[in-house]
Amino acid sequence: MADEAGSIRFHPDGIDVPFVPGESLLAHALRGGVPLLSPCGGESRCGKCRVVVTGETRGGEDPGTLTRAEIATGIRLACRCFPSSGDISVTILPGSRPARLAAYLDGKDLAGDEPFLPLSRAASGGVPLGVALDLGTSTLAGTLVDLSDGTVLSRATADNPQMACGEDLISRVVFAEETTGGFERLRGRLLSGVDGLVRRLLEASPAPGEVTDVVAAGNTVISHFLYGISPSPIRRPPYHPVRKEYPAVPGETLGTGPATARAIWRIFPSLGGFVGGDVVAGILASGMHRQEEVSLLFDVGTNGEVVLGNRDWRIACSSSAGPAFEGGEVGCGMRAYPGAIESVRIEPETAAADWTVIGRGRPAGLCGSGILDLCAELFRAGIVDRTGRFTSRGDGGRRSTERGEAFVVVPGEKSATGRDVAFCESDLKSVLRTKAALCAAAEALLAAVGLPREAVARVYVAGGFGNFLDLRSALTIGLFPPIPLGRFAPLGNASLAGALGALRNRRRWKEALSLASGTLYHDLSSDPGFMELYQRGLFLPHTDEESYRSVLSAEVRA
Amino acid sequence: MALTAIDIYKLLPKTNCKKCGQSTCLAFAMQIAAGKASIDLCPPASEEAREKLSAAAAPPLPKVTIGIGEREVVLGDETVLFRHEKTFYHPTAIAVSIRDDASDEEFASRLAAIRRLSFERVGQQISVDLVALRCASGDSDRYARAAAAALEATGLPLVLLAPAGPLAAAVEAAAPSRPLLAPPPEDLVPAAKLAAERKLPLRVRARGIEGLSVALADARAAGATSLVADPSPETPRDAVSFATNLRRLAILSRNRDFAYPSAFDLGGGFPDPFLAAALLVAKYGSLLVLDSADPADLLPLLTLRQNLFTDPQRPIQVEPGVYPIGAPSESSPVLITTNFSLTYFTVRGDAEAAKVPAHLLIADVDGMSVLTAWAAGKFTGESISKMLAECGIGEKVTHRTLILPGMVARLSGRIEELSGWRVLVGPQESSALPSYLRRLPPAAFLPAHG
Repeated sequence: MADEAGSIRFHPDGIDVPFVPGESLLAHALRGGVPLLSPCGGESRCGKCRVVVTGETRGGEDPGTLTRAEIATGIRLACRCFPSSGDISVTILPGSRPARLAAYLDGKDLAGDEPFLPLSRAASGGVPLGVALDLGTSTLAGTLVDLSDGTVLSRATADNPQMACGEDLISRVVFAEETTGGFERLRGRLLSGVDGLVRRLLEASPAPGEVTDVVAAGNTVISHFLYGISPSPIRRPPYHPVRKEYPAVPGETLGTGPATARAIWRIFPSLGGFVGGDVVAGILASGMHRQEEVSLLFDVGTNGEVVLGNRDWRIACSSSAGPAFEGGEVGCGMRAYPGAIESVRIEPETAAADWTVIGRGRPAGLCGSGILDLCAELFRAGIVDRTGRFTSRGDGGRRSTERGEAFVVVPGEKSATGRDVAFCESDLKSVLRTKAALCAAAEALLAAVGLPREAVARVYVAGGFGNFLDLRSALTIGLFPPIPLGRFAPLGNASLAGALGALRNRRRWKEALSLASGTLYHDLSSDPGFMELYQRGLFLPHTDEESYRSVLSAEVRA
Repeated sequence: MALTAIDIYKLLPKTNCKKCGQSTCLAFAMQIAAGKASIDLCPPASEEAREKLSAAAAPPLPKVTIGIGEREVVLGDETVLFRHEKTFYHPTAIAVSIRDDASDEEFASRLAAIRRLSFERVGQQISVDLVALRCASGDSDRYARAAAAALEATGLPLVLLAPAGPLAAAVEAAAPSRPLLAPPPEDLVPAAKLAAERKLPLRVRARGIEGLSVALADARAAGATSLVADPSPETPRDAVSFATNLRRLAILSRNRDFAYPSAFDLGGGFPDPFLAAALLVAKYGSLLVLDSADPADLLPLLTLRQNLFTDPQRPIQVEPGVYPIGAPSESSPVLITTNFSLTYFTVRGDAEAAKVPAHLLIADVDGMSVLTAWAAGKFTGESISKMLAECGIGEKVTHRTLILPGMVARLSGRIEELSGWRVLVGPQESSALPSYLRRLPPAAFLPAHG
């Protein structure tokens, strides 16, 4: 409701937000529900909330993230730009608008076909419906199932609205602690995001009915927000969550929207502060807990989680892998939306980059699989050395930028944003840290139980990134331990697949509960060997070059 | 080879019954493998499991201690052949010798020289550990007096290199200090009886592995239990070969007959004693006796030992405080980072590369890196403001401007509110510090107003 103070108009959505003096443009956008990216949570670190302003404002001319030319054309960072009056119009630049995920990603359920034994089938009228949810740090995904016969009725995905209060989980926990009403705000955002998703599922469903059961898998922090308990202890030593099990309750107890208020909510149990129910659901979907052979499960997301084990024993850990493969911490990184470069090849002679982009149109940045390919290609072409520094080769493709020397993948005149899609040494360092942490986490688990990596018969890779990554590129840079490529299997959204499996068969829900208590949580921060393993991984591909070379060359011969 | 957690797990009931206090059988197996738990804590364990696991739990190389209290020297107690497999626990002990037939004056000055063989390096004190007293006089009384004098002057534990008679006399004088008895081979049996009776450690010397197999059995038969084996090599090459074979027998073959720490007397005309010493520090010498007390000989050896035995898996924490980069003045920039050693050395190196004098504040966050410390709530607006107020930087500079790591830019507001310091957000990567520091306008560090 616009009063005398006027309102700020946000384009291209045409949303008017009442002007409040002293609030940043980002705060206005958040208040008005205007979609605007802010992965760092308004800390002016990421430089992704770019807007063009007409009217009088102050601030937002951060020289660290904006070039002089950009500032001169009126581009500002919304988190640092304060309107002087309510007579301003703001255009959100294309790269700063969250796009919907290009495609809903299914998960594979490798545990095999199970008889249909739904959790509950009591509906007061109409068809009993079940909802399986994967509550991710950045994405929410859901599947609607007819509980009378198990058919999937609809699928949907949405951004996690908590993103606006911090890209990573720790930022959100800090936000909950330090902002007045922060916890309620984050919880409210999660519940409204989930409610929106469920409503979209119901709208898209061909059969009307009543939701009687919800099975949700999420990381420990999100599960705590959902259950209404403070996640604060998780970020402090000894990093224990308040609770690991979340007894089933009706939605109205949780405060969910009316669509699921009368349904019973089951939340997957957590293993530890940083290994949550999403990983338990992933194990359930992989079926590794039923096999005699030993498997490794990687869940590559904002954090990387790794599970090692078989039907008798399992050990899991979380590595502070960082979001480099979700586009965070990398200058031209973005999530796997249309406009993201998803694969890259570099011609070693000319250092010319060839790429493919998601959807039609010009590239705006690099998503995880593109970043992975680019690093592998830069290394293969000899443009970067083992330590991740540029060599003298292929300097034709390089430009000097404010962030240091950078390899230009797409020059500004061909990109969607008008800026170069470029990759500099600090981006590569960020990737090196991420991949070293993930690989070392797996090696630390093997060392903890005393198994050689040859004992690993299968490697499951869960997560959207895991589905689209090029395994050869992954092993070229040493993202995983050197295990023959043939043993790898992508799982897609295993967390959602696990939730769906439990929804369709109550025995599997019980299995999930028991496998959680039989899986050991290994805290890497107190593992004295981890640091050394990590440091060995800070090279391309690793200090143990020989093992990687033999795994990759065996593949060529095969 | 030691049993791995998985080997142990296979022997356990696999019921996750939690009676041992661990959440799963695997967790318990990992505790046993790490030597932190015993199979006795598992009530449902089978007889077979008990038998196999109690044998596996004994350390492959027993522990022998010489001396008491703070100066106690520990030999052996190692579990792996290579440091990267797990870690080494006890560095090679180094003894410097002194003869009992020296004049009183020479004796005292030699002891003083031994006492001075202590150096500070990268914040740690590295020193010679023991005094080896050679019986050259053959006089029991004189030897006993020399032992008491050496003990009194240095406080270091003793290695008593003497025949049975003087040895017994010295033990009378010095037994409570727990010296190592080191008789010549022909006096082994009486010395072993003495060691058994007084519960003292004994060095068993014989030629080669074959010689040791007989001598060690004799010492055990005489009742001595705390043994150190000296294969009496004649060349450095011999020494390394014997030491390596002894350690392999203990760790790989689990041969209890040879599972003892090793000792080498590199004095008395041993060829290339420091070459041999350096090789034996790297390869399995538990105790070395040297005749030189020259710091030029000992410092390199102690440095080598420190480098090899510092566990790289446990990053050293840096002492919190204010560190100068170059020769900073009252208008030099003030930077802050955390006391994780890797963070400190990286930031320090980059700050030095800038060639801009600065003050570097090292915050006490229990050795965590910047982001980890922030995530764990140890590197906060509150803790940084407290440090600014208490570390004395306020007297060292006239300005009130702090350069904060870019990774924790979000703390800047809180620090400014609480401390009154102005915050400049530095680069996220330490590697960008040189260009950042060089570009800083000098006006940023003018005296504070008001």
